[in-house]
Amino acid sequence: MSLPATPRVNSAMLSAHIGKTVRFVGKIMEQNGTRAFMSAPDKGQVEIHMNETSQYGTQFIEVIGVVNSDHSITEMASTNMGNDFDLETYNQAVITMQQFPTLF
Amino acid sequence: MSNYRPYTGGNQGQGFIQDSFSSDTGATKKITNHTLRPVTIKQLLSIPRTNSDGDYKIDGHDLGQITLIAVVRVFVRQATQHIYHIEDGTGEIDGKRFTVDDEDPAEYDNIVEGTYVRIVGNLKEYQQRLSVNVHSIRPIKDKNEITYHLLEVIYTHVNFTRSKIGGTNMNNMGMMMPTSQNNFNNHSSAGVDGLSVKTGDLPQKIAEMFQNRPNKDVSVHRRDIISKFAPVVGSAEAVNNVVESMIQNGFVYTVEDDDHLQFTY
Repeated sequence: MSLPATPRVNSAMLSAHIGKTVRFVGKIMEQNGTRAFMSAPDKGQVEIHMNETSQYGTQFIEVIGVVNSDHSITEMASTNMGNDFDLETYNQAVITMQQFPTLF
Repeated sequence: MSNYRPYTGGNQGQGFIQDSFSSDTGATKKITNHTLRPVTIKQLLSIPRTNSDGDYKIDGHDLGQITLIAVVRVFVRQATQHIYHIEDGTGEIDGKRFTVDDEDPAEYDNIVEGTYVRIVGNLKEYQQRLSVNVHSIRPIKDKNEITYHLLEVIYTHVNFTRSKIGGTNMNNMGMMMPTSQNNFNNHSSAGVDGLSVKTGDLPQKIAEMFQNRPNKDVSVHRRDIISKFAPVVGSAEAVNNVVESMIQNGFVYTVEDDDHLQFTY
């Protein structure tokens, strides 16, 4: 079993990761069947094509998925991130992580 | 190291003395092994592999215990051990935990595949394959702990890799200090030696100003720094910004109020 490395991204970084698998944390704004719209750590809005089987149980969700050319994400797996997650601090962490490719 | 066997029997009387000499390095290693370092899996996997047993280094520092946050992807319970296949977005690795008779089943019952856990353990290598020997594993309740861990990993790395005095533009400062201390009487010219002082040199000059004070127990007022360097740099704000960044980077700290400053060393 091999899992790809999944860089943590905010909405601004999606364009640099088209076709790649990423790790994205957001807050659910709207959910309609298997389509969800999430508010990104850097305030952008990101469309998620949900996995058929996945159920979002909390406000904040971490999605692992592939970035499409329209900057939406097709989910492979997701994790509940609770109802009290500090997206702003997380965004700062994600941006800072870019400077340390040897660590992440 | 091949004859380092402190606890084997053999000829005990002599052996003890010999071992206490030959195991000298081993003894110090044991002590440093009590450190706990926050890491990512990528850091573990990119450790240069040597043949020496269990001698791992990250950023030039011996690795003792490690702590990491990852998602459990596969959880296998065997009779004698539990195997957690974990992944944190930077890489994947196996965590192994030997079962003991008196353990609390609650500790592993609440480990669920697909959720984040905090692991404390140490790095092990068996047949060229790295794994984490898990001492403790618990689910992450407050997910902000993930952000915290990411930042702590960066902080620890930066702390170990940058020189004590900090970033690249301040690298020379440590070397310059002793000489400027020797040229004690020249210090007034050091800060104001012509118009050549740029903002890039300013941290050094400010450090020299702190270093060259006659009485180092007395704090320096922010306005003294600004009034000394503002004419050279051209703007009081620029000087103040540099002072702020020196405070933020830990070279300078505030004493009785925000304007009275002391140098870190």
